[in-house]
Amino acid sequence: MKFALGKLTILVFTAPEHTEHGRFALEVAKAAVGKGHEVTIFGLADGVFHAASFLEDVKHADIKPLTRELAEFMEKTRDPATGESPLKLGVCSRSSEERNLDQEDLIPGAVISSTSKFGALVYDSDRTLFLIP
Amino acid sequence: MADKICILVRKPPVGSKDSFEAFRVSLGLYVADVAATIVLLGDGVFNAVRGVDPERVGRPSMQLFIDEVVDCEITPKLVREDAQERGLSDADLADFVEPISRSDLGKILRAHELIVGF
Repeated sequence: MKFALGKLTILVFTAPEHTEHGRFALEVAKAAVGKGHEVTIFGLADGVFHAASFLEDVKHADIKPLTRELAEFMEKTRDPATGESPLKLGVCSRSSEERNLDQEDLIPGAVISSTSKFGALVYDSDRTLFLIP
Repeated sequence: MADKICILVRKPPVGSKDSFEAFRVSLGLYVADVAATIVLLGDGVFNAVRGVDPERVGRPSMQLFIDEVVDCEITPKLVREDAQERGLSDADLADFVEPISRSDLGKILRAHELIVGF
């Protein structure tokens, strides 16, 4: 299975319970992946919490478990041959470090990345969305 | 593919880390060959007040990132009218910024397809 008709990068700056940005990013990602595109959601500052495994089971009357949905969508769309999903989830290393998040704290498929790698994503992407309040 | 971006810094150096993150992202983009034009506007002009030291109120210093930005030969712009509205003259501003007019800002925005506000 070949992905990547186009590349979309989405920067998420706020925590999952703070704004609807993470939800918006996931829904856009689902639609784009459905059209065969490759999407990377990049968490910066509190946006890194989208990849925090300890938030998978957070229950709140008004908030769906977004982090778990992200993990499930990456798993569901994973190519058995390559093991890769067309949806990638990266988080800034410095922002993660400031919030005591290590690689083992992240949901499967999420990776610690860096702002320079984010820069490379922006350079390579056909479109970039910055979700900053 | 994006090879240039305009980064608008709208927040002061205290109260949030947004301007700190803006400078950090600018450097990450620079390393990846995405040329960043940084513009301080609104309360973002306070980032360029000569001698401003966020560490005095327990906020992280941006000096490291500003030094790096200058080393990368990026000259952040600052909207002069926004500074003047906040009682700041050119003499109050640090050397690392280049004051521009609002009409110059319009030209910068028109020259960029990718614009992000922190």
